[in-house]
Order: sequence, then structure tokens, then C-alpha cells
Amino acid sequence: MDVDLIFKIAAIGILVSILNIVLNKSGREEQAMMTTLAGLVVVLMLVVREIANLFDTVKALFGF
Amino acid sequence: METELIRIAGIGIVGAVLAVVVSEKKPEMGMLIGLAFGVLALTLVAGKVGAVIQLINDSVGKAGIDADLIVPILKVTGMAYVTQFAVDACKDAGQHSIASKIEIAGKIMMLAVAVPIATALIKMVTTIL
Repeated sequence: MDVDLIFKIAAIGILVSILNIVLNKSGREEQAMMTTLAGLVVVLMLVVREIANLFDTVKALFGF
Repeated sequence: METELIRIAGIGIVGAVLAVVVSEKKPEMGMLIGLAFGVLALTLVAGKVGAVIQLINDSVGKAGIDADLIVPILKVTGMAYVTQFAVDACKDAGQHSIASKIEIAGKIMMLAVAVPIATALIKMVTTIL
């Protein structure tokens, strides 16, 4: 885990917003919504894994 | 030690800029960038915390204090960190009510962990009297 994670999330965010704009302009609102949702889920999975790691570390450190 | 601080500071600045850029169109992504940065920074610092805890444990062992009294203190500290992290994440997302509920849950749990110390104190007092 490194700075890559933040860059990854930012890249996904920019990509999703561009896709959103393109799809909205071509009149596919529901697909734009789906891309937004998919991007959010992907990023959430990335972040949640790291949060779980952090909490495990804290648990091991402080002994609970 | 210094290199890690500089690293965290640099990542923080880069993360803040990226979060501002992304938040314009997707506020939820900006919030997740903040969360990812928090995880990163705390993970980088975690090793140092381990060293400090080791030091505390060693000092306690040398001073001859009962280890059972120190364990709850460390536990409560860790719980406070976890609670604060979750509360800040929820506040970033604008969910103040969820944040305060997590805070209350954390306080109750910390109290539950701290109760054995209080009982030990009361026991000590009753033996003296």
C-alpha cells in the first residue's frame, strides 16, 4: 500500500465523472448512473480493504 | 522518522489537491480520497506506536506495576483512535448523526473496558478500610 491508492482513487473518480458527462450528453442517463455506482463500489472495495488492515493493525498494537 | 513525516505531509498535500479536483464532480470520491489518506498516514505511523507501547510495557514491568492495570489503558487508547477515525470519516461525509452515535458507542465500550480498573480501586480501598 502506498500513494498509489490515492492516485488510483483520484483516477477512477476523474474517469467516472468523464464517462458520466459523455453518457449524460448522449442521453443515456441510466447508464451514467450505473457507471457512477460501479466506480463508487470499486473505490469503496479498495478503501474498505485498507481500513480493515488498519483496524487489524490497531487491534494487534493495543491488544484488543 | 523524519522521512516518514515528510512522506505523510507530501501525500497529504497531493491528496488534498486531488480531492478538490475530484470533489467538483464527484463529492463521494473526494471523501474516499480523504479516507484513503487517513488510512495511509495512520498505517505509516503504526510502527512507531508499537515502539512506544513496547517502551511503556517495559517501564511498567520494571516499576513492578501489575500488568493487568496497564492493559485497559492501552485498550481504551486504541479504541479512542478507532472511534475518532470512524467519527471523522462520517463527519467528512456530512453524516453528523451517525458520527455522534459511533462516538456514544465508543464511549460506552471504553467505559465497559475501564470498569475493572474502578472495581480494583474500590477493592483496594475496602481492603485498606
